[in-house]
Amino acid sequence: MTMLSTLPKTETTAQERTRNTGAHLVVRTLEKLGVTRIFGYPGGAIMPVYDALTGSSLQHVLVRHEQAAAFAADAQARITGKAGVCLATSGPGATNLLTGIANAYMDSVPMVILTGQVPSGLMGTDAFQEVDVFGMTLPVVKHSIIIRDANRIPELIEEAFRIAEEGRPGPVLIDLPKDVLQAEAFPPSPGAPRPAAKPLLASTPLLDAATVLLAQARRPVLYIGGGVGLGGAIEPLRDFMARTGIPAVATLKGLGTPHPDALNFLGMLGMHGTRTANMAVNESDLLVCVGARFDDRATGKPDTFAPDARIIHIDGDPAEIGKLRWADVAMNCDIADALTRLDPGYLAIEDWRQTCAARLTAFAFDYDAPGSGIFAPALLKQLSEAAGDKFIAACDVGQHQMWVAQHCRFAQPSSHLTSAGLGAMGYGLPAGIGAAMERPDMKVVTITGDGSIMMNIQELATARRYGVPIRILLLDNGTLGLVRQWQEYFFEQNFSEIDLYDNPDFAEVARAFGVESFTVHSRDEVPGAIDRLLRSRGPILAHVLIDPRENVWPLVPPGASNADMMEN
Amino acid sequence: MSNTLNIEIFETEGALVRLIGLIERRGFVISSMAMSAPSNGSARVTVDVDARGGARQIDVLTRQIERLFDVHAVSRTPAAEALDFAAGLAPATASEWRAECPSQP
Ligand SMILES: Cc1ncc(C[n+]2csc(CCOP(=O)(O)OP(=O)(O)O)c2C)c(N)n1
Repeated sequence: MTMLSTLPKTETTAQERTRNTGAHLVVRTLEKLGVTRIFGYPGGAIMPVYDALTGSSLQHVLVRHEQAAAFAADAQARITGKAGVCLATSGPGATNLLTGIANAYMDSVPMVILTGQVPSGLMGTDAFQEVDVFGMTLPVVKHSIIIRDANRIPELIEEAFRIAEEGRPGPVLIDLPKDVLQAEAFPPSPGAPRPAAKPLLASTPLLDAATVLLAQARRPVLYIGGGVGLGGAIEPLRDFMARTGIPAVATLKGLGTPHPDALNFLGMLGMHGTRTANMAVNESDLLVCVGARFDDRATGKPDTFAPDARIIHIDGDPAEIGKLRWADVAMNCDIADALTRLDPGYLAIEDWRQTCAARLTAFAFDYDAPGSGIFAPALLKQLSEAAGDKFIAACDVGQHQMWVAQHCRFAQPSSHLTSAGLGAMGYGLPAGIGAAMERPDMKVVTITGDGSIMMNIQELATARRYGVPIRILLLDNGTLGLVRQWQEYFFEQNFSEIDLYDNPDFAEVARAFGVESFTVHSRDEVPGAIDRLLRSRGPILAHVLIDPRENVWPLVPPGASNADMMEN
Repeated sequence: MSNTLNIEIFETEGALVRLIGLIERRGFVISSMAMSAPSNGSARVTVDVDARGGARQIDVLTRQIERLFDVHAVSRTPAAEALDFAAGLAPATASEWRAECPSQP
């Protein structure tokens, strides 16, 4: 470092240099669009933007791995409904973002990703830290743009935000060659903002057709997906459920959409769904699918899914309709409008409602586990009840994720941040950070496993640096539990590479990062632990030891019908 | 059976690779392809496609293409009626259904 100090001082400081470069335009455009926080990590090609960031009103959150920047921006977006923003350099910075971009794509999360790129003249020459991030991300973006002309930066960034947020949301990537960032730019004054797209109203003949099917049905079921929340249709959906009394099931992303205390909500359907939900779908004669997409984790073997049901499919995205299941009445329209206007009046489904209600009681989860060990489902139920409507869960991936879905109560879909479509381990901690920074008034809890937390454990440093009010509940079973469960049942107990016996002491690790932590060994310590977690300002980590043999039930075996659920 | 898609794309960087990638990724094989010289900022791409197998449906592919931001129109032959609605559905519902699926940005 002595060498550096002997270098001649450069003539200008950052302040004196021109403030009219492409990089300044990037920063000013973000400010103008109302962005307040971005997550990123610097490097060569993106350095002009970092230079322009000093003195900006934007809060830049320095994560410790670009993947975490994408996950944190994703979580912020899920909570606000506005595009989250992440920033990385070319090459390795961009490749590290990839999992996070795919995650946002699979779960329809609005996000704008800014990547530095090698200078235009070097693009295509295998230059240092050059990767074709535009090409690499094509399958996992809603749209992408390489900006070639600094004067177009404001216009194209604004367009990226509009595309990311409108209709079915998704990630939009903007690749920024370094020479464009450094060029002086004098963009034309902005034109009039484009009027927002008008909602596509439901057609009256289709509403009539749907009403006829509803009136004929004896065993109707409402199948609710993430599209309802994305389409701003939570209240119309809750009202429709209350008005019609139709029994309802939800996908992983649909959880939190029905009112959590609605008596006709039967729980999650699919692989780890409730027995009541899967039985209802299996027996239904009419499935009203709203904002869901017949994903294989929800349907099991497709030709055995709701085999006797006619289908009403309501979705904002025309490309989802008819993709995996033919719809008898297909409505591509604004979900809120359809649900508000769909009014079948009195439905003669009292027997069906009672059958479903009786099953809800008969097949209710049993929280009385033998022994004195910690039973994760009971702990999670107590935790979510204690946090109440302020609860926001940021999950990782594995058994713990499914337990959260099964046993926690969500006031809103945005109370449940989970990597649903991609199932990406490593989501939980950065997502919790993004959520807690956005909503410090809520009780944000990252619920993670000993496998998953290691995928982004470096973000404890971010939590510590920014004093993030995050609570981390680490359910440590010393194994890759979900994989272990599959090996136990579908690979003849041939346990292969799932043993994490030599995990570090996670409470010690947290302390080394400067994060408060404690370990919970037995059931009688659980109430105190929940209390301490929720009272703490955070960051705080509770390291909870659980039995590796505990499994997630019920379970639909892969490739089986949802009717063939396995129970403990 | 082959279908021919006529796709109007904007002449923007990456539009063609995005289009072809989508067709292949969604389970279709391109058996022939032609592109007109761009004029007025857009170009016409004509492709013959066959489903690679499985239950891939051409009308779903058409709507997935329409969803792209650098595509402004898609049409196909044989036309939609012949293929999609032969399955014995209430015709009123089926034609309404098509009317409900306009090309959306
Ligand atoms: C990035 C990534 N790699 C691998 C997997 C496959 N996978 C799914 S669950 C799981 C085990 C997760 O273990 P842990 O975080 O300890 O949670 P547990 O199942 O024990 O609750 C694995 C390896 C994945 N989903 N994501």
